[in-house]
Formats: sequence, C-alpha cells, structure tokens
Amino acid sequence: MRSLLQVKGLTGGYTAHKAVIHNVSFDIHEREIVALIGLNGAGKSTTIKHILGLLKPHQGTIQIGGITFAEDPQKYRSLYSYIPETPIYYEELTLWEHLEWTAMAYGLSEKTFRQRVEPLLKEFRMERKKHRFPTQFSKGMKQKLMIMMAFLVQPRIYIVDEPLLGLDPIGIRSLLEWLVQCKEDGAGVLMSTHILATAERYCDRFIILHEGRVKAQGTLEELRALSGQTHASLDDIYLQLTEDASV
Amino acid sequence: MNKMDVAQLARQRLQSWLAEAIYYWRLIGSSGLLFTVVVLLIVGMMYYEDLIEWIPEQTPVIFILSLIYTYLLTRTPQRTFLKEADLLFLTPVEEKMDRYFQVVFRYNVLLQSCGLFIVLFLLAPVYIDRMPEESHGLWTYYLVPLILKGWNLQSGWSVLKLHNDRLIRYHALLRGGFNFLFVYWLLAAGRFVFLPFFVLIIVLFYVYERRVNAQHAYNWLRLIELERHLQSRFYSFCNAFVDVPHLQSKVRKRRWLTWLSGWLPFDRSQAYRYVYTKTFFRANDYLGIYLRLSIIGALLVYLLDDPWSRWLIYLLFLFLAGTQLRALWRHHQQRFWTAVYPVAEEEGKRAFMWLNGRLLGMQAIIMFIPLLVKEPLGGEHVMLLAAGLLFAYGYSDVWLKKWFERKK
Repeated sequence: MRSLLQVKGLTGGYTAHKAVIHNVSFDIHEREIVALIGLNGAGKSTTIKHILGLLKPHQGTIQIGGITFAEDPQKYRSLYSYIPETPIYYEELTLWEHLEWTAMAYGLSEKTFRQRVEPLLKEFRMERKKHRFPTQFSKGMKQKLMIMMAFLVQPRIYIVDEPLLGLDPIGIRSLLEWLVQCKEDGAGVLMSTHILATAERYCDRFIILHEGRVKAQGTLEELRALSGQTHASLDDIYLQLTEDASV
Repeated sequence: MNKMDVAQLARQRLQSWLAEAIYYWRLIGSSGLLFTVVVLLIVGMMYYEDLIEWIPEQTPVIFILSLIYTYLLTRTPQRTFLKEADLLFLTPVEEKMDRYFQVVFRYNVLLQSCGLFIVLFLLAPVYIDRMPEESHGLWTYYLVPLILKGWNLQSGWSVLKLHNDRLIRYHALLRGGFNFLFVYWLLAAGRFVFLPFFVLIIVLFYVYERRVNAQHAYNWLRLIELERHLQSRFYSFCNAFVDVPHLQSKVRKRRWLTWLSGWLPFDRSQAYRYVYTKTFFRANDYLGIYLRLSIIGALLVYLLDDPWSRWLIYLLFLFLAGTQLRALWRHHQQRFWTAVYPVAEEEGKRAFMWLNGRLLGMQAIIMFIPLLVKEPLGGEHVMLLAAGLLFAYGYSDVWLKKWFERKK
C-alpha cells in the first residue's frame, strides 16, 4: 500500500515560539480510513491546519503524494479536500454555485462536474435546495454542503474534521458509506472525531493524540494489545490511555 | 439583576456607538470623500441658482418637495443598540426596558431631525422661489416637518411591538399618506379649515397605538434583527471607504442577473472571476453603489455645459467608482476557501483587475451616451470618452497592480 500522507516529526502551533503539538508522526495509506482522536485541546485541529498548509511547521515535514506544501502549494492543495468542523461558506453564492466554483477551482471539466454533482445532490437529499443560499440552511444542511464540496473533487486524500455533529441519521449514514466507497476506490481518509463508536466501526486505524503528542496508534487489535485488554472497546482503551497519562 | 440601571446601560451603549461612529467618520473624511464632497458642493453652489431658474414653470415643485419630505418623514429607522445576548440578560428586566428605550429614542429623534433639517435647508431656496403668497410663514416650513419627524418616530416605534409584518407595513403606508397630505397642505398654504382634520387623524393614530402598546410586549427578535440590519448598513457604507473588520455582509439574490456571469467559461483560470462577479452583483449592494454613481455621473455630465466642469465630473465619478470598488477586493481577503483551494493568489488579483477594468469601462460609456443625445458628436466628445477609457485602463491595470505590490 502506498503512503498518501506522511507526517514526520511535526512540531508546530499558531505562533512561531509556542508549540502546541510535538513530534507528531503518522502515515495515511491508500484504501484506509484513519481516525484522529483526542480530547478537546489535544491538538487535533492544529494538526489538521498544518496538513492543510495553513500553518508552517516549526520542525518536521508533511508530504502529500510525495511533495510538501512549500515545494508546490497549488499541486499540494489539489491533492486533498477538506470537510471543516464548522461550515464555512460564501454568503453570496448559492449551494449550486459553491459546487460549480469548487469544480472550477480544482480544474474539473464541466462534463465531469455534471456527472458527479447529480448523484451527490441525490444522496444528500439536497436537490430541491440547490438554488438556495446557505445562510438559510440549518447547521446540518450547511454541513452537507461542505461534504458535497469535498466529494465532488475526488482527491487522493480526504481530511475530515468532526463531520458527524449536526447531521441527521440519514446524513451520517450517507457520509460514512460515501467515505467507505472512496476508500474502496483507492483514496485515503483522515477523520478527526469524538464519536468513538462510529470510529471503531468504520476506521481501519486510530491515532490517539494527547496533549499535543501521539499517545498511541495502530489497529484496534494493536491498541488492545498495547493496553493489555483483549476485548476492550475503543472507548475503554481510549479512556485508559488518556487517564493514565494525566495521572 | 434588580439593581440593574437600564437607562445607564443605554447611555453606555450609545456612547460607545458614538465613539465608534466618529472613528469611522474620521477615517472616511481622510479617505478622499471629504474632497469629493467639497468639490461637489462648490460645483453645486455655482449652478444652484441657474438650476432653480431653469426649472420649467409648469413643474409641480411643491408636489415633488412634498414627496421628498414624505419619504424622509415616513422612514423611521429605529436604532436600539440591542445585542443578541440581550435575549438572555435583558428579557428578565423587561418591565424596566421603557427607560432604556427612552434614551435611545432621544438619540434617534435628534439624529434624524438633523438629517431632515439639512435637507430642508438645502431645498429651501427651491421652495422660496415657488412659495405661495398667502404662505403660513417660512418658520412653519422648518418647524412643522421637524415636529412631524418626532411624531413619526414615536408612531413607528410603538407598532414595532406587533408580530404581523403586514400590519406594520400598512401602518407605515397610512402614515406616509398622512404625511404627504399634511406637508402638501403646509407647503401649498392650504386653508386652515383642514387643520382640525389633521389633528383628528393624529388622535386616531394615537388611540390605535395605545391599544397596541397595552396588548403587546416588546418584540425582541424583531428589534434585534432590526438593530443588526441598521448596524450592518452603517458598516457596509463605511466599508466602501475603509476596511471594516466585523462586517456582516448583506446578500441580495438577484436571480435575474445570474446570466451575466453564466457566460464565463468553465475553467480553472476563471474561478476567481466567477466569485468576484457573483459577489459584485449580490453582496453589500456593490452593484447599487456602482449604478448610482454611473447614473448621477451621467446626469451631471449631461446637465453641465461648461467643458471644464464636465471633464472634472466625468473623471471624478470614474475615480469615485474605482475607490468604492476596492471594497470588493477586501471582501474576499482572509477567506478560508481561497486559502485552501488550489488556485494561486495571483489569480485573485488578476480577476479583480479584470472585473474592475470592465466595470469602469462600462461606466465611462454609460456616462458618455447622454451627451450624444444632447449634442452632435464632436472632437471634444471623442477626447472625453478616450480619457475615460484610458482612466479605466490605467486605474485597473496599472495603478491597481502597483497598489497590490505596495500592500505586500
């Protein structure tokens, strides 16, 4: 399996002299969904902002498809798509125009755009809302817009930040099934979440971030072995690992 | 909470609002607006008397003046300085809120009376020129509208408690009708017999509003929404001159304008043009400002005979549009998706320069067309148009480029 995203020895934060995350390393490969889990303030969002290229690493490197952000920002950005935790949208564009604009920005042809957009609108049940402005949407519908914008691009890797909050049950199912489909088509997914039951069911590997450092990572089996509890759920393992650390 | 002095709170909020407003007005004053206003005032004063004489005899001047004053009287924007969090913190002291609203009400009356007075003052020469001989006296020309302004604000305020939008609109409509009759009667020096009739109507309004007042509580959601709207209108006005950080943008759908950006090719290089064009047509009334400048500019260029004033106004209005449009550039600075999507920042600058050039070029033509109706085409006209187009090009493709480089 080829590695899509490589984070090596990443230390960084919002200002140049104060690091929030320390020496974080992990890989995301083709055909896998990896969960990034941790308490509030553990450094998940900071890690993600570094991966997006919005923050500059103090130390360490991040590569997507073998290149770093500094080497070719535009190429680097075109390899991922991102679903933010809180919906971010343009007040002056309709749902449809957000999608159209996304397609343009990623250099999709009009034909490809039309082929991809209809199934997405159908799956997320937004066909009748397509000429509305997101300002009029509920949180869940705004979240669906973010999700559709990301899936439209079909990049090599998806960076997904806590996507489940605010979505209705059907929306959650659609999102997860679609992510699994992307995975089977060869993409990699990094998903930050607090909902461990869902993570346990859908993710192949887990990265537990605690106070800015990787506390543990691996498959559920590997984590069980590490914690010495052979039948434990992700919940139990997670609580044990993080509580140990804070003692 | 019992000890809470809401009147004091209102005064505090009013003060901090005034400090902020003064701050922005000072920035606006130093941004070239002041210069423009002074130039316009001088040009205006030079032509004002000619203009009054030029008004044809049969023009219903008093009718038109009454319409203008009716508009100014009937619109009663009510600032309240309420914040969203007040839903939680001030609703418990609702029965004391009358004192809060009294303070802000006085501010509204004062501010809007000043505005009305300025218009009355500026239009006074027009009225004096047509004043009927049996007029009630010039002092009534000033005094009565100012009293009416206060009454309108009070009347408009008390029906804001209603939950039915349509009732509020009808109320404003009736008020407008009444204002018009009253002002027209005043300016045309109508007979005194009608005065009791007007008083009676005011009493009827009063009876109705008292009932509304007694039956309804404050409509907090409406007041907060209204405050948000009025505040963001002020900010977007300021944003045309200076950078306003916490601006909530106002979007109009304008579906009928969608075709205007529909012809952009579906291509990566067009992504920013797409965003800027849509933003121009929909957000913060950029389109409205642009059209107003174009139309007023065209009108002035058409009316002015002196070639010097004409050239000055023609170029001045292009320059003004250019400065106003710079807000459109700031509109998409610091936006998240433009930082994450794989489109180079340079593309954004190029797209803005492209749109800017097209718009100013269009404006140069719009302001030029009326001249063709007025006079046969001559060498001077061609030069004027050429200068306008040259300005559009120079501003968008040369000056803006430098501006971007300086900003780096």
